Amino acid sequence: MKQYYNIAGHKLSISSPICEALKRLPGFQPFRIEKTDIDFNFSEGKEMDIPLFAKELYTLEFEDVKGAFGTTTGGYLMCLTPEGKDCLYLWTNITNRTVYLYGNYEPYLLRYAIWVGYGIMTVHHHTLAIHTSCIVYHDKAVLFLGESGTGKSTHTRLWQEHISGAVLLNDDSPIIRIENEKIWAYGSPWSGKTPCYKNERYELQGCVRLSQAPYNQIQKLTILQSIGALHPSCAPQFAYDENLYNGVSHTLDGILSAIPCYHLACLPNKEAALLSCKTLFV
Amino acid sequence: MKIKSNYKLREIAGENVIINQGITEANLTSIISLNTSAKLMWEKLINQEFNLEQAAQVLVDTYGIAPEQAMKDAGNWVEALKKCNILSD
Repeated sequence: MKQYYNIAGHKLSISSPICEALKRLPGFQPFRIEKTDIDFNFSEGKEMDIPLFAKELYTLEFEDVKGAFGTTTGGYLMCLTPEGKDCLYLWTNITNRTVYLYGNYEPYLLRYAIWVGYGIMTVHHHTLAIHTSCIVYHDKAVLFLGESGTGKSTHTRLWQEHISGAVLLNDDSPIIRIENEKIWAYGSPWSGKTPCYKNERYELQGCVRLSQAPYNQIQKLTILQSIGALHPSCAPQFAYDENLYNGVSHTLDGILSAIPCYHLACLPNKEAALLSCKTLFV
Repeated sequence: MKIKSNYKLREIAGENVIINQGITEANLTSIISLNTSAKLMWEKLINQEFNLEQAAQVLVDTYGIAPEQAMKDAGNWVEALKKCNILSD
């Protein structure tokens, strides 16, 4: 059995038994489509086929999980190891456009693995998952960037409370795509702690990097500063591989050639939301 | 000296930037911007051992400036890259 999805315009299938395990992740449901021709697929691999690292590039940690990411002879491999439990392995085969998974399909591991697999398969197609909270206003999307704890979700909540017509598109990882020289922000199945899984897209109006301050002040960033604002919000493991980062930098090039970025030093209050709104939508 | 292989020059929205690639231990990203002549030196000297005289020669050959001036400019370029830990000895 296979299920079909359309995520930010990329069509993919997910085979049994992974698609059954996905039922425990409500985020994927809005992106399901009828059977169709696909761009790539997720399948269960065989344990004996799990490749070795050619080069381990990056180690990661989240919740109780330790992970490793790197290259194999023909693609990429990631192992996610939750404490005291079985691993989830992910590896890619570019030739047959397949992401293989094997092992522990607990929802929090699977959600992250599919995010990474989706990122690898789409990185050379002007597509970038950006860690950000994304608001829609006047049919345009705005990305709010910043490290964990800087108040991205707080700021987008303030927009929704105080700015009539402002709606959340995604609270963690919208997908940014360049299509026909337009920059689009798509909702995605990955929205962090906020269940906001919208199968919608809007043209990107701008990006705002947030930092906490005892005042509200906004300024436009230079291109170099904008790269510095966006780069850390992209999938970190992709920065350690030349091939993957070629795709990332190509998309960043397209985004930053067209879209303004700002830095907002702010308090968590209504005036901060009004200031960023007024600046972006003059 | 040599430019370390984990640094790549890329063009993003008109800026020539070097982004550190592949140091797992250090999660910090450094992004360095190069102007036209600094970019030229990078492109001519990447993937090879070079000394200060050879770096200066790139400027002499391209811009026809005096060797003394070229040595000074190349010295500044080397110092700046060393400060960012981009050159190996």
